[in-house]
Parts: sequence; structure tokens; C-alpha cells
Amino acid sequence: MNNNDILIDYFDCLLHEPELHPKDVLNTALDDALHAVTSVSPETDSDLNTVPKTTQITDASTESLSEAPTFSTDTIAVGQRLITLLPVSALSGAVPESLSHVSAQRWLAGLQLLLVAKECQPGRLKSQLLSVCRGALAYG
Amino acid sequence: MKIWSISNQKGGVGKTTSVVGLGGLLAERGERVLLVDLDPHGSLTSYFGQDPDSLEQSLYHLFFEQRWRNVDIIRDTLKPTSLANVSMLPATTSLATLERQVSGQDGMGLVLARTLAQLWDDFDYALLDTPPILGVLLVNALAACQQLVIPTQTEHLALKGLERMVHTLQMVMKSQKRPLPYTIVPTLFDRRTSASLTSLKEMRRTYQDSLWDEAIPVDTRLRDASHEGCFPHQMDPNTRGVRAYRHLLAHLDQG
Repeated sequence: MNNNDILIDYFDCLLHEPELHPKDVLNTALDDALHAVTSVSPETDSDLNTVPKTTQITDASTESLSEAPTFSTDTIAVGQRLITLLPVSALSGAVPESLSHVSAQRWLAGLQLLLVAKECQPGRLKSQLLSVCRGALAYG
Repeated sequence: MKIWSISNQKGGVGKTTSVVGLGGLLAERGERVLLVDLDPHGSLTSYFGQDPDSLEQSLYHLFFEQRWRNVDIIRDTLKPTSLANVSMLPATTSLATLERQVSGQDGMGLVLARTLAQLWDDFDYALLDTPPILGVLLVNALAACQQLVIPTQTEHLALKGLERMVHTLQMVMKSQKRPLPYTIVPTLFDRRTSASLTSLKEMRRTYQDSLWDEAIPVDTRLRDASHEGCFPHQMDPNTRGVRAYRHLLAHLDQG
């Protein structure tokens, strides 16, 4: 390498940031979202099985969630299956271009579930829901 | 906000004096001005009575923990000058260690640009006083600015420094894939010396298109102003140096 090549490498390093992999972007967004949800109040076990009969989400894009059945804790524990049961028509939102269609559906379903989790009272159930969300979104 | 970088890889050519001279005249016409000291020597910082060895917050700290993202932290770092509408982002001597700490990290040449973006609506102009060495701080200035001013002392050795500076600029433009207009400003011109006359002639021959067609003369009143910690035009609005900087400002405004 001559002097110019060395300098150009130096400038390129300082002046360009590596492009984040879509999954890294997703994980960062997910961490932020989870942090926002979990930082509302400390968890307690007293309201272990508190699940809203219907969600209070009024946004038109998530309206179908209010029609979703309530789930027992056992059902939540196998949450990956729960996600696939959500109607695809209920899904909306921006999808990272590089994700496959299936991954995008799973990702959006995870976000929808995150909205449900947000309505839950703090407790073990909420923790499990969030765990499912994390799994679904990271898997995407 | 317009961002001008006052840079040369050679020291003692009048960078800080040019930053203060131009900044003061911009303020005189009512512009809100930010002066940024990127030199670990902290000449600009010292000019306005701050101590680069004891300041707790400076540009240095904005490079770490993504502090440039927080506009309140940036604003808290700013220091006043002798004019109400001119603020300064000071340097501390710790800036000298920045090269070793961040130079291997991708994107570290963009911190200043992002810092200034946070202050975009706070100021009309930002003038950058850069260190006389090629490194992460000079690269930050070149990446952030829209126009480059290269003060060059009218003497033989300064011409080599100018050549090196223009070469660096060309490589940065190549890396960034954007043109950066620049103006070479002859400084410390003394018409009584043959060294000044010869080197000015050489500059005109080599850098015809980019050279400002006047020169900043040697003027002891500029030095007096630095001693007083005030802007040159505050000390004497009609001194030769101030008049020359007025002409230069008018020239740069057209650019």
C-alpha cells in the first residue's frame, strides 16, 4: 500500500459507518419497545392471571385484536403457536425490505402481541407474553 | 447554519486569528455565531479566557457515550465570548488523546457534523478552528463544513503545508463523494519582505482559481485583541487587519 492508499483507508474508516444488518436494527427496536413496556411499573405476582377480556387498543390498524379470544397461561406459554393463529389480515405496518414475507408476518404478529402485553397488568403472565414477543421478533 | 472550517496542516498561519476575525464581523452584522475549537492546544479557548487544562466539559466529551445526541449536554458545554451573539464550543487538552481512543472506530469522523446538526437552529454560522495536524479532529471538521478556508502564511515553508492540505482535502472529497469548495487566504503578509512577495507570487501561479486575490496583512492590533480577549473589530474597527477580514468575509459570502 502506498501513502495515498493508507490515507484513503483512514478517511473511509472515519467517514463511513458500517451498515447494520436488518436483524440488528430489529433487535435494537425490540429492546427499545420492551424497555418502554416493562419500565411502566415494577412487576408483582398478585395479578398473575390478569388478562384483559378485550384490549383497549383503538387504532384502526389493530382493531381485529379486540376480537381475539382471551388465552390461558398455558396457551401463552406456547406463544409461537398463538402468533400463527392471529389472522394475517390483522397485520399491518412497515416491514423491513430484506425480511421474507413469512418473517415479516411473524414480526408484525410479534408487534401486535406486544400491544396486547402492554395492556396487561405487571406480573408473570406479562413476563411470559413479553418473552414470547421477544422470541417471535428475534426469530423473524 | 453555514459551516466554515478554517484549516491548514501547518501551524502558526493565522487560523485562530481568522476564526476570531471573521466570527466577530459576522456577529457585528447580527448573525448568531458558534466558534468551535478543535485544537488540543486550545488557542481559541484560551483567547476567550477559558482554561483548556481545567474545563470539565468540551468537544472531547461529545465523542463518548453518544453525548452528541443530547442537545442539552451540547448547549451546556458552550461558553460565552465577549459578544452576546457569539458562543464557543471549547477544547480541552484531552482532545490530544482522541486519536488513540477513537480513530479505529468507523464513523468517528462524523461526530462534529452530528453535533452541529443538533444546533442547526441555534446559530447562523459555525466557524471551526482546526488543529495543524491530519487526524480525526481535522477529518471531523472537513466532514462537517460546507466551505473550507485555508489561511496560508506568505512564506516558503507554508507553501508545502498548503500543498499537503489541498492533497488531504482531495482525498476527503473522494472518500465522501462530494465536492468541498475552498479558498486559500494569504496571511501575515508583509510587503516589505521579499519572502512575502515571492511566496504570494508562487501561490498565485499555482492556485490561481482558489486563491483570494487580497491578503491579510501583519497587524499588531490583531495580537492586541487576543491579549484583551476581545474581537479585533471591538478593539479597532478600522485597523488594516479588520479591514482585510471585512473584504474576506464579503468574498466568502459569495461562495
